[in-house]
Amino acid sequence: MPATPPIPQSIVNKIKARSQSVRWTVTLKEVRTFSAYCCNIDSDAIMGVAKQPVPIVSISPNPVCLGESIDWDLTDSYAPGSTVSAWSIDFGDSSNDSGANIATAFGSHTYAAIGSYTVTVVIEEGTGRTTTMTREVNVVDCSEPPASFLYIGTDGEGVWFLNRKDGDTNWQQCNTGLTDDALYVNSMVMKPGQGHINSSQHRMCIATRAGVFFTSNGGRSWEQIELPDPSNAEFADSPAATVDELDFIRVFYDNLDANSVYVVAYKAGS
Amino acid sequence: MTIDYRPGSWSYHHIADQDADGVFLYITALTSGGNPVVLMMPATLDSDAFVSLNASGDQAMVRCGDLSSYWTWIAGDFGSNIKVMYSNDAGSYWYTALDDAAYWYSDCEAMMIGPGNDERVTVSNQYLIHVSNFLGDGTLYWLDRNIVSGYFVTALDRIDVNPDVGFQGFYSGSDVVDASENDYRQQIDISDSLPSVRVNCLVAL
Repeated sequence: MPATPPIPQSIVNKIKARSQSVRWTVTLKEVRTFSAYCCNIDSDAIMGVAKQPVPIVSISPNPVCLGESIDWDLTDSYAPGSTVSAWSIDFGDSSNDSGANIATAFGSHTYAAIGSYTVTVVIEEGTGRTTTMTREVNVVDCSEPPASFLYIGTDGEGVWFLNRKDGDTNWQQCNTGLTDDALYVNSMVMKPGQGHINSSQHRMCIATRAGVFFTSNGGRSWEQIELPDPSNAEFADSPAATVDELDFIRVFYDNLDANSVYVVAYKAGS
Repeated sequence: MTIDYRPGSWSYHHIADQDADGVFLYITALTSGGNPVVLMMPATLDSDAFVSLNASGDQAMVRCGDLSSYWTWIAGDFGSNIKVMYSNDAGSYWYTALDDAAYWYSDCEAMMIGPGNDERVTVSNQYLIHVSNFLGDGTLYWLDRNIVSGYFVTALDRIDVNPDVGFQGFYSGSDVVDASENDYRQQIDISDSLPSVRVNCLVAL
């Protein structure tokens, strides 16, 4: 099993960008009833969304047992107001495939070794706009059943971990790097499909009163994700809220990008 | 126009989620008047949120299906005893899944979808865990599990490889975390050395 690498700066920046854009005080351009256009996400005139192509990626099973193949399918990908003109998929193990006809964008693939692989899909539409999506595929050793791991986030006692394999009942505290308000854990999210991976490589994020923290070693240590101060446009009060005034109350992974998370923050009283 | 919202539930772990295809974010909130709303916004964050559902009541939380972007569940206190609703068409229409005061004593505390089945939601409110089940003809019925510990269930999760194995965390007390191997029919205290503390969130794998 390859060691889990540290968080690349580019990913941290992306997390920052996401969190900067998400705010609890939601500014509405218009309040509209959803029923009028709910099923018309293709219409940029209504949604005000750029005509980026939309990758729809199906990969199963995931995790996959070593020696077995995954089935992948991009054929539901589409381009609002246009047509898909090219697609490509990189399986993260120096294998790839590509084509022009989205109807042919499916197949199977078998990995040669255990590990986590980042699958990168690029969809291009007729005028040259491209959208890139990543998915993480875990190739696991199925010769042994998965261990049963349990993490809890508590209100004041931080994160605790239990490895239930072999009937272990001894909880371990996982708070290195968490102090004071960071021990008040509002939500946690773990990348899926890590049941077969050694707990020392578990990757997860938590949202706390003190900010958002990330671990790539099963909570043995936590690294705070530096978040920029929100602008006044995001928290429409005066003066603008600072990041220290926020309670980070929800974090969840981006289903389109295995390396990004969304952060929902709240300023009490706003 | 700017509207200020408050979190839709003190159970922060459930107030926002992303659909399976990553197209929309769902956020539950309370308006300045205290009524819950379900907001949707493009996951690209390049367009502002819009209201998918207005309700009366005082609490709401949301979870999206893992398999299909069409399925989303919300639970809470929407007034008139409506506690659980779902949409199977990407938020276009919300169906009432449960509206029965006899089984529901207070606000919902925790919820989860699946695993491996977007039509199954597990919801807790105080001393009960409720599991939705759809019959072949689309009829929805509920399995209700009593919580033997006597504490409020504040967090839930199940294991992907065996959905019958579930865990729950509690508000406080000596019983902090329980495990069940039979869809919450029976629960075993596995708190052991844990301090008496409220469990806000729980991840099992």
